[in-house]
Amino acid sequence: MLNQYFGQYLLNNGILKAEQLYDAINAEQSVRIKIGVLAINAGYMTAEQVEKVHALQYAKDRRFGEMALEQGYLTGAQLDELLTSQEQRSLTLSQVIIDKGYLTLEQLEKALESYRAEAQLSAEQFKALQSMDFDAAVRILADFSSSGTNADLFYDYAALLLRNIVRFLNEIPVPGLDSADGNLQCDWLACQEIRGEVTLFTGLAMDDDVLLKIAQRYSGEKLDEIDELARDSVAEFLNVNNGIFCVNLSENGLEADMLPQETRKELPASIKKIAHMNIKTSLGQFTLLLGTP
Amino acid sequence: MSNKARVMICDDSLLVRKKLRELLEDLGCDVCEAGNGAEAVELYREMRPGIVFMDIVMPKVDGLTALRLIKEFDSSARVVILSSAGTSGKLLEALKTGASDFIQKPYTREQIVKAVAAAGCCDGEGIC
Repeated sequence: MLNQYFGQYLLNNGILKAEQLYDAINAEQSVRIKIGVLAINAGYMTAEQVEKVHALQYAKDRRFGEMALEQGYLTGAQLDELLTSQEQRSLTLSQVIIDKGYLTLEQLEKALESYRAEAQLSAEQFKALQSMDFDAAVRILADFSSSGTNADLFYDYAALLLRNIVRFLNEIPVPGLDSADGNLQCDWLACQEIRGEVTLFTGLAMDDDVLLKIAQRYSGEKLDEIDELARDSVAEFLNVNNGIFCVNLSENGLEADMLPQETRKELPASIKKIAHMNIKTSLGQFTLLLGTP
Repeated sequence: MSNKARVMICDDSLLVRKKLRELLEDLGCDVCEAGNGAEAVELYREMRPGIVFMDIVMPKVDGLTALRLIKEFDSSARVVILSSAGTSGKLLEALKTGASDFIQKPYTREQIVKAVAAAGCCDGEGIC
């Protein structure tokens, strides 16, 4: 997740110019991340320590990891973790920025520190959210096994939605099996399609009362009736969730776009096979619908 | 004729337009709105705002197409993409087309203040 949002942060704060970020993103795919950059990203080493190891490397022809261990800057376990991370491509933006000379190691360290400090979710909040382990919960309390090859995708989507219900609606959701026999009975359906290397129909089905409560909670507005603003508030919640889902897909090398979100009374005719998961909150119960067009 | 900084919001979400308008008016900006990319291009020609906050996923004409059309009309236009679609592919496409900034929803007040300040429409404290 760091790559996508950190790039935007550098742009938003004028740390990188638009053309520099464009250049860096373009170049990032061909770059192998160096352990020193990974160590700063992980908070294991300071920029000063990395520079010192680099200087020692000039004098002795030895690997960065070995030198860092010898200096006591890294533990064996930390080095193993960094070497594993090196195989993944999620932090390459920082490496490209250093290689191109847009920022020094010290400037990068400072930018990362301020990025983390200003990130909407504090480290503690993020840890708390992770500890709720919705990934495990959906696999126990929901059942997408009949969705075949899409099952893992559906579980990932459902877990992300539950985390975002905590984050944006300030609710503790409880997922559950759906007793519906495939005939959707609801007053409203907020829905959006995702298309690309992953194609997915997403929907939240609910009755009038639940729609109004979710809309009020998400928007912070006082809403007395189901008007355009109320419907739009629920659809926008789904849209923001799907945006984060698409960023996660992108981090795993899968590009997908969203179509405009909408609220409607019934399922689009083009959606044939749908999987359900009930979600209970103090605002009422609603149903997550996932399918492929 | 008002001396306030003129800012345009283009988003198909009524909620986003309402919330962003409230924030920008609180900063002292003069705000105009478009609900899709086609309306945004037309409104830009008419109003010539100092900064545009542009969504990407919209019906009729999407935000990246509207960005391209606005930049063709006025190469100095300052367009900030404000979208939930924050993948690196979309970011790259937006920067290539001439976006001056990219904010992924949900946005914060501080991000908006900084973007408006960077356009010279208000100071860093949010005073236009």
